[in-house]
Amino acid sequence: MFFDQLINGIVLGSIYALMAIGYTMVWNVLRFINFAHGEVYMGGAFVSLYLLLLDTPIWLAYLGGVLAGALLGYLMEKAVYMRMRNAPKLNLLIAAIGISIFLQNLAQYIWGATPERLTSPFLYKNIQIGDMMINQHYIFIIILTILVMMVLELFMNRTIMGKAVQAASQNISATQLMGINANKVISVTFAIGSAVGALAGILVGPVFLVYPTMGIFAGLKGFTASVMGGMGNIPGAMVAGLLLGIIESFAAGFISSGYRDAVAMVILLFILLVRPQGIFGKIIQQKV
Amino acid sequence: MLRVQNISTYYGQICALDNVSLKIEENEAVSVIGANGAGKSTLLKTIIGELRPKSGDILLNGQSIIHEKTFKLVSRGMTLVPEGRHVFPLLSVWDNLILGGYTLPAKERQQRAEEVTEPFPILRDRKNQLAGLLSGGEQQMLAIARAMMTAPKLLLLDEPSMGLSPKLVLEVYDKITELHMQGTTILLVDQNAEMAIDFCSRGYVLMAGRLAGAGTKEELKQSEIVQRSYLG
Ligand SMILES: Nc1ncnc2c1ncn2[C@@H]1O[C@H](COP(=O)(O)OP(=O)(O)OP(=O)(O)O)[C@@H](O)[C@H]1O
Ligand SMILES: [Mg+2]
Repeated sequence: MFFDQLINGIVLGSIYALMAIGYTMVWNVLRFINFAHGEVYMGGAFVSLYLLLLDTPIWLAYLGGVLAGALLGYLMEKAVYMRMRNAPKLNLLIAAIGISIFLQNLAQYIWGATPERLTSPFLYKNIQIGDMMINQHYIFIIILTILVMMVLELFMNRTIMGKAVQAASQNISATQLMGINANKVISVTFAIGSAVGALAGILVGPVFLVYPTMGIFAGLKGFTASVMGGMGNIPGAMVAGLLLGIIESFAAGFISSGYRDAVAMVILLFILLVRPQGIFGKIIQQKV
Repeated sequence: MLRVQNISTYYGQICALDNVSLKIEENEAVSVIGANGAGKSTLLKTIIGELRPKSGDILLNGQSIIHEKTFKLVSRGMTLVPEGRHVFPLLSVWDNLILGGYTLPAKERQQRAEEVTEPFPILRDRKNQLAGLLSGGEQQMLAIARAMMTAPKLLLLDEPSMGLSPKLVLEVYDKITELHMQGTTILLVDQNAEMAIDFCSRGYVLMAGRLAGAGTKEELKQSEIVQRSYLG
């Protein structure tokens, strides 16, 4: 029971962590919360589903969904947010909510509102560890999440583009003085954050099903995790996502499954009140 | 090399530069002096493309650059060390330098970072330290070294001595002199008018957004406005 809940929590937490990365990365370069990120998660899952209906091999369908998610995030930024660079952040927030509602309706119009299950090559297989049976798809989720985090870590700290993304989050006007095209850095950030968000949607598709409003709660949880981890702090978002998933899972298992979402929101409120900079915070020091 | 022709720059309704013209020839060092709020930083930001002039033109080697984006001007051989340094505080000293060489081929960045830190041994000693934890003077040196990564032909310097102790000011000016000797053309803005005038062969005086005077080092030192307002 304890270990079952722990595994469930880690799986859920992996998804939240992947979602949180998108919020935090976008915050880093634009200082706003992209409330349409949940719809990137939904969009990626739907595109994979659609590709599978066309008899695309499963790995290609997954990859297609991830790429579609990246494209969706990229287009969102180019078409809307980029045109609002000098607008008050509140306007961007409202634009994001508008995009989010639009995309939910668009998905419903194209694919309908009936939840559908994405296929997974692993869903009906288990792995036995000791006397525990663990669903192989869960293991798949955990492994992919770890992989994504490693790749992201390498990208951010070992490539010049990753360093440019970090620089843009610290002082975007100075990045231009380095000869860096800040708009390109922002595009790259959106594309990566969105690809990771879409991957999260595709990974849950076989378990929690795919439907137009699936991004709402996942978005809220990812957002909660990014606040917990300290907005803008990528490793913080990863750890906080995992933590949130585990806490929720134990709350559901040992209190009642009805309280699962309430627990997340209580944590969000608590953090906003007690530690608004997040558990791991973010240090900004600049001598002038 | 650089020609600024009758530019006027506004912040909304506020006119910060009014019909300003100046020119800089290759290998010159030219100063712009003026009181707080005279428009010195606005002038440099307009040249580097962070602000757009409402009228007038700016020519770099004969070509108009007023519609060019800042990051493109950097690859055309011009850069600005902004007022307040603007190092990336949460990146290491070395990463700051590497980013300064963003437009260079990847293979050359490390080598170039070694070269530009030659005059700044302190930056080599602190290469893995977060730039935000350097002292003000060290940050200034980092900002200058970082700007040198692309070996700019024209370097715009905004208040390089701000907030530094007199000893550090001399040190920073020593380094700038070295860069100038090696062939970098310099447009220098400094509160410290005496230092700025002495360093440059020519200079301009800005007052409330307008050009109030211009001349060689000697002329500026003799000039009444400068004597009265800045040299005391
Ligand atoms: N972002 C801004 N919005 C509105 N007005 C501005 C802005 N930046 C500067 N100004 C105004 O434009 C004028 C010129 O400012 P600028 O920063 O160019 O002066 P400066 O000569 O560099 O002064 P200092 O020596 O203090 O650095 C000032 O009156 C200032 O108040
Ligand atoms: Mg200034």
